[in-house]
Amino acid sequence: MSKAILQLDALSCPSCMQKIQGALAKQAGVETVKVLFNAAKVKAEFDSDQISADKLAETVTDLGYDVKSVKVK
Amino acid sequence: MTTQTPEKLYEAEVKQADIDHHTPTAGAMTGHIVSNLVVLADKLQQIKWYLKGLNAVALKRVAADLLTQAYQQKDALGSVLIDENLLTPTTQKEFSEYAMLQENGQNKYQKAEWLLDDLVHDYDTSNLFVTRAIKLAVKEDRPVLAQRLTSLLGENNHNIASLQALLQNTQRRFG
Repeated sequence: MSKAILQLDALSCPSCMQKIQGALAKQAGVETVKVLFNAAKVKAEFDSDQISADKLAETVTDLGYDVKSVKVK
Repeated sequence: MTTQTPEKLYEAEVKQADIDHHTPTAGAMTGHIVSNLVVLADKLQQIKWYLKGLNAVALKRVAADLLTQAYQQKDALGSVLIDENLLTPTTQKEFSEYAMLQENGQNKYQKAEWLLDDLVHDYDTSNLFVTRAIKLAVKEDRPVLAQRLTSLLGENNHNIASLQALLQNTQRRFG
């Protein structure tokens, strides 16, 4: 299982972050999604055979939100 | 004077609101705060009507005071948004869409401690939006909005401390 941390705009709206969480959770291969509201980060655990971190970031940008950076562990 | 119909004006407003939420802007963030205050008021009303227990009389008074405050805060904040030529949510559909706080009819049967602890979390959640909105208002050079939001932050912090004192917790120790 791989882990990705998506850094969003520091002033991202918490409600929007919840929408992002819901959209990521629906992606095939995504196991868990956690939102860190104060840090404006989204942490996702995913199966790299089914989905990539870039695809996760793309899902967020497709919703109209900027992804500042993506870290994969 | 505008010649556009109410339907067209509202259509343009919804489109602009969506853009503002993605950017984000102080107005959009404050719209969330207004919506949270509507849900908070409903929750406080529920507590004022239904709370039971040996301390019910005193705690219903606390809920009543917070309810009055929430109505005043919502009205004042919406007025500042209008003064700043920004948008404020006005319908139940908009409040539901933009609020992050959650209510539930079954909560009327919860014990007083649970309800007070839930309120502490709600004020803390509200502050997630307030602190961001203050920064955005400063960034957008809207000092009046920033001032009102700063007052709201202080009031929320006071309410958290007061409720935590009733629960015999320190301010940041959540149950």
